Amino acid sequence: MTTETALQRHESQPATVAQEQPQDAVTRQRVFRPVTNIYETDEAFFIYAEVPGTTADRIDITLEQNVLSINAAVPDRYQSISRFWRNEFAVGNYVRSFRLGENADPESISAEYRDGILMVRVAKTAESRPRRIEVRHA
Amino acid sequence: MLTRIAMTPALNQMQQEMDRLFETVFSAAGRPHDAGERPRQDFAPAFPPLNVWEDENHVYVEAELPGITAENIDLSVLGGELTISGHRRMTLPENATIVRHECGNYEFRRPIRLPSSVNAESIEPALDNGVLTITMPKTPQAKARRIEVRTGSPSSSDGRSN
Repeated sequence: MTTETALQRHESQPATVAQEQPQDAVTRQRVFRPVTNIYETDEAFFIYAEVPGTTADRIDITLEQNVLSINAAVPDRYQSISRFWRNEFAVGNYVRSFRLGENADPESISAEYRDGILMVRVAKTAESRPRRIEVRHA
Repeated sequence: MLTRIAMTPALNQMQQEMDRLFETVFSAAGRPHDAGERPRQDFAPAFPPLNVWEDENHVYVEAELPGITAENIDLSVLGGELTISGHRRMTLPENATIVRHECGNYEFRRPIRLPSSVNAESIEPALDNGVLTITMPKTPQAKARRIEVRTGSPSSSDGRSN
């Protein structure tokens, strides 16, 4: 097999993706772990996951026993393209889980998807939040 | 700092690509760098990863830039080369402590040679959920690849005998 020189076309791998259904896509498409930053304040945990190329309705978030799971189905937008001049990244679903503190409150999770970033806010249970005690002048 | 081990064709090709990549970075600036100023992308010229493809009328370049808004991305086309540059500035919640930090603020600059020459006046960038797709119409010269076979009379000037 001859080696192609640098500027020749690269054939992308044939797509084996089903239609845009999260269930099927997860089993038959590539899966990636999204780059994620996690921050914490007194009130809540904030999880920022990089999941570009999808939509809010394709993202599934669960919090079970302090484990936050993110599952984002990403439609294969390259399905109809067979030849690339450059093919430096692939498109696939994002799956990742995190163990949060025991004080993560499953009753109050909110999430927002903007600019390809999924931001999940998990409030801490009320008892666990530090309470400030006011010192009054006698 | 590339050491030459057995130069298989694949490594040779990689070497050439690296040379070419560095070359385009430097030539785009006009000079390696200003005195006293080192460009950040000396050692990491290949970010963001790009997909490039074309069809009959357009060249497409796509990059994934999550968390970066349109005003922080710059595009320029000169000749047959597109340069994508910009930076990411993250906004954190107030008084937050970091539990996990896998990505911070960064700048990037990536020049890329296009496979066909394009009309710089009518680039259409689209930023959708962190995916930047740049659609560039080809110049008429780049499109004219089909050679029409005329079915004219034998006396036409193309020199063919009947």
